[in-house]
Amino acid sequence: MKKTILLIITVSVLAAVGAAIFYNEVTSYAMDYNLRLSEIQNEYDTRLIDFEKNKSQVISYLKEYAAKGKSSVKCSINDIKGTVEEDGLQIFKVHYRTVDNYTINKYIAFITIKDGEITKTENFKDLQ
Amino acid sequence: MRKRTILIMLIISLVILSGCEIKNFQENYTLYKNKEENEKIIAELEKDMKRNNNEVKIGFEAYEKNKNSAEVIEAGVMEYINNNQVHGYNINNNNINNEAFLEYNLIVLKTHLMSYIENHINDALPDETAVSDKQQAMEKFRDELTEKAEIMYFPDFKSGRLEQIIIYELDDGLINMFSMLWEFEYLIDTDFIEVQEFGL
Repeated sequence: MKKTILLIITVSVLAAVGAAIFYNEVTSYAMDYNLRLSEIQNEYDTRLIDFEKNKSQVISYLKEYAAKGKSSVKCSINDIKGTVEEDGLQIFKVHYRTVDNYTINKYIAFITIKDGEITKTENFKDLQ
Repeated sequence: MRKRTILIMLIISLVILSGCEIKNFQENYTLYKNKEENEKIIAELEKDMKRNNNEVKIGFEAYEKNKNSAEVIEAGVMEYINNNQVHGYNINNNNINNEAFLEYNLIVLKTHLMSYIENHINDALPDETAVSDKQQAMEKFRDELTEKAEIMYFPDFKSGRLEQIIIYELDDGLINMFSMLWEFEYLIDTDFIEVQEFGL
């Protein structure tokens, strides 16, 4: 009887140790995998990705801004370029034109983005 | 009674905690089970990251090279704008492969600037003012305007081109913009635009 109990205890202890080792292995692997994953993600140079994100934001903002809420005004972007980001600040120069009842106007807008937010807009009419 | 309540609460807490831990373990185990697949994902990501970083590096290197060339000509353009000469811009930069449009647009820019300055001073000073005084006032006004000139660089990473613009803010929201387009360190186009502030 005592032997059986001892055997059961030994088996249980061994099972618990085995389970703990397995648990530890699974957990360490998962931690290591997630760490490697985040390390790679952090190594990505995101300057061009951020640039494209800011650019899309500027385009959608400008289209809405140029239309002034009027459905008759169509806005087309002819050229958009941005400065290289410095201290989180980027300036976009956009050449665009609006068509309102057969009247075409050409404009140049300078739009400043800081940390992903539009902070300043300047709009100029092309006199030529 | 009190002991029993505490015991029940303890058991409930243990059950909840083990439930959370089991859920965590299940997620970790799924990762552990798909070791090979995970390694493939990591390898793919690493490859993509290197490709992406290389693209960014190439784009920024092209930008730097274009900018260096643009800066070489910048001083000459500024000097031409700031002197009293109206015609005959002297191009002595070997990087410029098409000098005609640069010279043409520079002369247009200069003519616009000079005529603006002349009109401004003529309006501001009485007709009887001596010519030398008017010229002095014009030079002073021109210096004031050009001192505020802003030079900006707009790269296009897709095409590898760089637009360099020199902006002068005049009065009444008028702006003169002189732009030079660079590609592979060569000046390929220039343009002059006059714009007016237009709030929507």
